[in-house]
Amino acid sequence: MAEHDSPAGLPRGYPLVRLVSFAGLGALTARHLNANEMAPAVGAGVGVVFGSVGLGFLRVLVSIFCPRVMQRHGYRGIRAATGAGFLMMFPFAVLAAAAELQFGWSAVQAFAMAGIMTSGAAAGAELARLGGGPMASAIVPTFLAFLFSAAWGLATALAQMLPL
Amino acid sequence: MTNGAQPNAGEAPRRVGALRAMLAMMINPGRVLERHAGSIAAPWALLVSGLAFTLFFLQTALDLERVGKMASGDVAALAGKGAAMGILGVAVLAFLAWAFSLPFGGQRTAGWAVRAFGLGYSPALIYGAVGLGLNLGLKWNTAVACGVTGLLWALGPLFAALREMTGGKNGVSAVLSTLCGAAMLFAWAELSLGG
Repeated sequence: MAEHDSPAGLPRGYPLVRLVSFAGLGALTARHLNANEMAPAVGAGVGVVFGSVGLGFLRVLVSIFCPRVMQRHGYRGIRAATGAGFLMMFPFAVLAAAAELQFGWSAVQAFAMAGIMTSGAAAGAELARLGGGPMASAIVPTFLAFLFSAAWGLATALAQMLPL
Repeated sequence: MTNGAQPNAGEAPRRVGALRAMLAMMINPGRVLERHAGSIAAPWALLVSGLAFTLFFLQTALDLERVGKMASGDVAALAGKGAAMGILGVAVLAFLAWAFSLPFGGQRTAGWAVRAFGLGYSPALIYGAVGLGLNLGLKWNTAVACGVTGLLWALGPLFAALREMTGGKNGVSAVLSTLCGAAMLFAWAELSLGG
């Protein structure tokens, strides 16, 4: 694999699917925190903001720690790789909704955190495809996604302490 | 990952430890499947998913027995259902996913899909083994905490396999992996919890 793929432009639907996924996970989380009927809507908004900011940080740090992709494809390559990777949030959001609404489980955090970690790993695979180097591509986004998922879990734990 | 070198087209498959390959499946499943799904025999690949689901269902049975919702004699039967789901269920799921992926231009065979799906449950096997240890050792209820989490972690490898099967189409792969994940989750709930 001496030659590497070039970053295809990110299909327009991907960011929307990602935002809907973060919104869904945020809304499901908020259902547990507050019985108010507005809580899921607020949670959806917070989920979108938190997810977008977290992904933004992840992209900036990946661009610093995966210089090969940055040099070859620029920030556009980083955006395309992480955008494609975080499409993986969708299955987790759908399964979280099924578990919550169908089975009545309270396990949204497990789905959200596993989704972020898996998305990071998927982003790493995309970065490797763009010539990021196997080790840097495998470890950097996975580790950053671990921090992102920990931040998501911590934010939820802190929200539970708020007098809502 | 198996190594830090750039892969070459003519590179012979390297022997890697089973545990290392399973951990690599959690970090970079696409590459592991690219290297090993073509070379491993289907029964071995399905043994991975079979063991993963056996351990998952066994934990579920132990949890249910602990809270008095299942007789001790039924524990082995539920574990057996897990083995059947991990072998036959995963094989059928892989075949259906392969059939649905055909219109999207993938070049992989049905046999490759079965092998990839079987190996794809490596993360679930790791979570299953850890969960069973905690279940038996500390008497924790681990079916959801470890079993379902393992099932979720398997979505990454399934997505990677489906991406290969659909010729690199991320959107279709995300939808198909959602359906596959949901099918296994609902099947587990139906078989073990009675829906």
